[in-house]
Amino acid sequence: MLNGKEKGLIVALRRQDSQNIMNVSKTQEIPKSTLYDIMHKLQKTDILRHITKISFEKIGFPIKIFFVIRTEIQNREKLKQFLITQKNVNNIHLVNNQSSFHVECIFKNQKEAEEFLEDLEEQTPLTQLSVYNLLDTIQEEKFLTQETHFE
Amino acid sequence: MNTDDLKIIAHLRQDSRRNLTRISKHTMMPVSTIFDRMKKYNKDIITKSTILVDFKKLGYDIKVNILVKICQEKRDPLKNFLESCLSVNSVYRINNGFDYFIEAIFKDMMQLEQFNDKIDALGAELKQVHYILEEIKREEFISEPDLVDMI
Repeated sequence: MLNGKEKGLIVALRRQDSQNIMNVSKTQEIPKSTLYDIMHKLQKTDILRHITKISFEKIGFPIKIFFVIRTEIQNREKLKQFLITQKNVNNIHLVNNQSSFHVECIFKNQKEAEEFLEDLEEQTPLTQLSVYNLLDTIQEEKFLTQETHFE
Repeated sequence: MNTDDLKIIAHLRQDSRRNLTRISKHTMMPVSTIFDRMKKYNKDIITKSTILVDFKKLGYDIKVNILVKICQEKRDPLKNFLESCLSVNSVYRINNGFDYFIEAIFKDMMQLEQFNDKIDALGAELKQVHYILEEIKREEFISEPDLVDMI
């Protein structure tokens, strides 16, 4: 389990990863060297990964779609490999629901989304394909951005 | 947005703490240019620098995606609840038969049950709960600087 300092660092970086470690050191009252040690330890064990979230819309990719895709169990691996190699795929989760994948994709336009769907349906026989447009982001990556989340 | 911009963004998507010298070496752009562009992205394009955490390794064994349909007049109370609930990581507005897509994280089934009960009590007409078994891809769109030419 995490100790108080580790929790403090995770909360600070979940809130704003780009902040200077010096600031984190001041706000969390943890020496800078200790913070670096903790950060490296957590990275080594693959507990955390630093990322930047961007507005895809502002760089010309306004279409964000969430797919629920289901296939027969024998086709699951093939479908998984196909999804992994697709450039428009941002997130893939395997869920419990009879070999279902939850897939989030980003596209330049509707045509690109249609082409992705055509390729997908050609690749593997699907037993379910549900398409949901993401209309608005209400909140993202908020869990563990406050110390109280650990309680 | 040109290819150079996308390369810088891909570096930041891959690692928000990546240093400018490394980005400069890879993109063959001067550090000062990258610095200026990053300032511009920070104002406009970057929505959040954060860390992705392997919640399972921190003891949060249950991660679910929940789709909820709710009538218009009950949307705001549900939205307010979701925004204040400590277990909710991300929330999106979606279409096509559902209104909200919720990603939530729990330590145990009891916490999830309480959360489900609350959503039902707020008037959800339809709800699908999908348990995430495996995270296959996470935040990988425009995160590979060598592949931005393909996008």
